[in-house]
Amino acid sequence: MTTETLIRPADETVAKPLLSIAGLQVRYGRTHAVRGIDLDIMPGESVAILGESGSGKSVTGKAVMGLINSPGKVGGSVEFDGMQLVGRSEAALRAVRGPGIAMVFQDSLDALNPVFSIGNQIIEIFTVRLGWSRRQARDEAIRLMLQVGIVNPESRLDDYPHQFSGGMRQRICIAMAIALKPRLLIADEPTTALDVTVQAGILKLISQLQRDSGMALLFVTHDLAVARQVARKLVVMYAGRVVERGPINAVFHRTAHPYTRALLGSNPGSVKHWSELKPIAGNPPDKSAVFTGCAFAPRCPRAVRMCSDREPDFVTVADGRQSRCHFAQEMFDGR
Amino acid sequence: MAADTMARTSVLKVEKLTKHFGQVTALDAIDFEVAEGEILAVVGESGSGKSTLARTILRLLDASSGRILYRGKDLLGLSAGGMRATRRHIQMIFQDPYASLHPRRTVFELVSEPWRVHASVAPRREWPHRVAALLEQVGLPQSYASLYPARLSGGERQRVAIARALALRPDLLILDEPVSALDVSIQAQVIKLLMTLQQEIGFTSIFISHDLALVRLIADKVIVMNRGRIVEQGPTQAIFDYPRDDYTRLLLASSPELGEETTAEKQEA
Repeated sequence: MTTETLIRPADETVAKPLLSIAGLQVRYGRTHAVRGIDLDIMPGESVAILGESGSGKSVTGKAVMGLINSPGKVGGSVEFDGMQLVGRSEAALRAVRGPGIAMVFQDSLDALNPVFSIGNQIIEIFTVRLGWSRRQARDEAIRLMLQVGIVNPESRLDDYPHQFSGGMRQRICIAMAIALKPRLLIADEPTTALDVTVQAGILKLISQLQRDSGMALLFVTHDLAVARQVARKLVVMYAGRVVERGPINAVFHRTAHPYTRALLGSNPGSVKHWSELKPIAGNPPDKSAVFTGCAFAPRCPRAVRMCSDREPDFVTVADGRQSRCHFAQEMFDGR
Repeated sequence: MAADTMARTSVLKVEKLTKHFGQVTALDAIDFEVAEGEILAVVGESGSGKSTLARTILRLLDASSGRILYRGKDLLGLSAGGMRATRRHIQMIFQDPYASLHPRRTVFELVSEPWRVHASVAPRREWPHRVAALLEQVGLPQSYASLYPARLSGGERQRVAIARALALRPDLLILDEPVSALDVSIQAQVIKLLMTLQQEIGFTSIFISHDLALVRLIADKVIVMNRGRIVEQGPTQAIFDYPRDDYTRLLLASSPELGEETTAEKQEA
């Protein structure tokens, strides 16, 4: 936090966000997956979106990437490097995907084509997108595979996706995502399907690539502890809305929203005995529900009448810290 | 916690249990014992054999060799009828509450189903009030009895699965990743419910999980499995504080929740 507040870029143009999301909404008929999100990501910044199932976190990532298909409807604004992405043609979006924004998904087996060798799938990126010769593309593919930790890449170029373990497949997906040196990498639960020992390696790889290349990272996860390993900034989502945001360690140490606090209290890593677990009562709201007030109010230990009547705005509780709660300042001050 | 040194009655004793799938040895000479009222956690990653172990104990899979002594009686020596009768005492809760409940049965039918199979446990006229009592025990409103699973959330479905498992007042409960399909906030609800019920009713349990942070909170003893073998077993605190096996150490170091505390401490120091 201190480095962020002390070191301010001198050049005005550097301080412009790489990605700027404003009032983003995603609807599928009456289902409201994302209900108005504002989020800026600066060049080189690592941001984690944390949320439970149905919070809209994955849909947000897909909307940025332009992957919401009909009948899904996207509203609001997503600006990448000054260019509006919402409403753009598929051809324009395709030009952004790869060198601009790239994405890694949870299921690596779905993300790769089972009938082409890994080598072909990586090489194709360079021959098709950059017009490179096959020889040059092959050399770069080998270099990339080595970079993401695949041993003896030359001998594995002709292998098919099913011949790799889940962890190795995810490394290949990461290699393909970073092939065109994107300025923003969106990773949607990239380690959720993996064993914990494999997860540790993938998280380390993503962090290292992000630091070395200076690309920005938007990491979508349901796992607080994982978020903390890869991101400096945290965005907490609930029922299609951002409810709290700020530097990740600061949020951990001093939450300013009842939902974030409740999530921490129900996390087994945060207590010594099961009896100390503090579950959140009830269930997350239905995505077709209509709210007049705060969506978390029915489950919130702090809620009063006003909470179900009027939706709270963002309250800035400290430098870079915001919470969408009528009691944000009181929460933050420990009152 | 059952840390007392008093010798307790053994509920389940597994000896040299081995299971082959063709060339693959899924379980390799597994030995362990669970005493009355204990919670034994079986931890490991995918392919470790932990789920195969649960299914082999219940004879949902055939063992290749070894013995499974339930209160001194070898389950592998039982006839099909004998095993069916014994299953009344050994119940299982599965990971996926979306797959384990029949979608065309109401909650009442699902919870009372075990009594159809084990008719001696509860006469039919007692079913309504017994189902009501079970629903109350797992924290579901009475009105849920007439609902179908599709209307329920994941956490509510798992509560129904727990009510059904408790319907036969089991002696031993085998839980195979009972909360890993649920959201964190709902996980904590279900864990608290399971542990409270365990204290009230006193059943013995085998808790299969990949979540070390959770296991640390609830288990008396831990078995660590890797590639079909037990690499380490012992009291929970000993395994977490003084792991001796290299694989156990790797597993603990990789767990983000457990690792996180150490990084945070380092940063503060």
